[in-house]
Amino acid sequence: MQLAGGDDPETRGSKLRAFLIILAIHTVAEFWRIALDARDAALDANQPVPWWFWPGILVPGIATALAIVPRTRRWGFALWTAVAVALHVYFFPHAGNHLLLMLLFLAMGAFFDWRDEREQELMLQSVKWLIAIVFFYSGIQKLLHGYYFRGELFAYYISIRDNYEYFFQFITPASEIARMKAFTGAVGEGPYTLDAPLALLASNATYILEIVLPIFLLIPRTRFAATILTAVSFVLIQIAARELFFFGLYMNGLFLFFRRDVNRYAIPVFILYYVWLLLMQLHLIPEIWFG
Amino acid sequence: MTFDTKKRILRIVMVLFIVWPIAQFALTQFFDLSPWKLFGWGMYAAPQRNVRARVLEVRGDTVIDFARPVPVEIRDRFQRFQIDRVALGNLLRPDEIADQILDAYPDLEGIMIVVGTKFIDSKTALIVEERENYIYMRENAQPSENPQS
Repeated sequence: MQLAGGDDPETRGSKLRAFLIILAIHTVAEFWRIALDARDAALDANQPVPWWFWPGILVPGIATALAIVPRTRRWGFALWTAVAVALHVYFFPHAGNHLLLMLLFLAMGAFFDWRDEREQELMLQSVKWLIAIVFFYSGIQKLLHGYYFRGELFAYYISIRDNYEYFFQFITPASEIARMKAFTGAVGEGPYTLDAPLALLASNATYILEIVLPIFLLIPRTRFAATILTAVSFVLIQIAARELFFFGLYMNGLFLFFRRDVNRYAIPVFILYYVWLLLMQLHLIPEIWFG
Repeated sequence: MTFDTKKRILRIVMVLFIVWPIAQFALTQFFDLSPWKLFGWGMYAAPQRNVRARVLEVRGDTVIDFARPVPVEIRDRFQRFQIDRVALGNLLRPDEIADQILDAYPDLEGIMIVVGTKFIDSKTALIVEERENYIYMRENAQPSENPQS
């Protein structure tokens, strides 16, 4: 566990507090998005709004209010943990991986006393380990399933999603993108492979970076550079993948690798980010990033 | 709870967190579970699979189209099965749907549910389809080993 240590003792408490506040804001935004998504889907299908829509708006609001106030913080995270477990059961087997990461962070918020110095240290180390493990296994899974050596996965996504086309148009000839776009998904179609050298480089660099960077995140001498590189690679991945809530959750954890409480200054940025995502979800501003 | 107890609990959680993705990968290989699901951190490791299932009627040694009106309840259940099968692979069988269909149509001798899974083969990079047939005969009917369509 200590491999992920090395936090500045003077700002450790403030760093953890900032992490928990951003986590509470992230969680309420994510749960509201889920509730709004379900309501929109029901209305689009001329079906009644799910019974849990209003509880899905109110309970997260209460939990976040409790989690932000220092005196009730652990109760807030305990309530959040219960809600997140219920969500996992409700969506089984379709709950996304990042919901588990969120659940573990929330459970830690309830489990550890954020005012106790030893527990602060242990919680920060645990969150950093989770961040590194998730990134590492994402790379290992890509390597083992074998859809990145010839750009197979990206070729497939170019064929079905415009946001991948948008990203790859800068590094892939138009003729190759046109070939992918012509596929209809019928049996026998293919091959779903990319030939452009830069596209192949991007495809193979994806899993290599995901395997290597977490190791460097855990080595004190390379931690700072690895944190910056991980953040940059995550931003680049989001241009195509656009998993914007996962991005917020992960960046919140990644900020803990900085020695000092850099995340404290990022709280307003995170708040604006989630307001922006929710406004898009409410169709009050154009969905410029969802493609 | 003491600090040492918390430390011990955390250690167990961490070990599970490290070991589970290996088990999840094994499940994807043996049962065609989606790499995206069940917390193996395999999102974007493989293209999403596409599952389409259909029901056929078994009469003696022949299999014919299921040309009967299907109640909404069964249709919804069928849709749900297709979605869940993408995530759970071969671990999810259509047994309950088959029971529901046999209960709804007492004159049926049996049914066959064909589950087709389309995916990109990682070796050839071509779209292929694997089919699995599940045959359900009513208890008093003579099951046929290999019905012909």
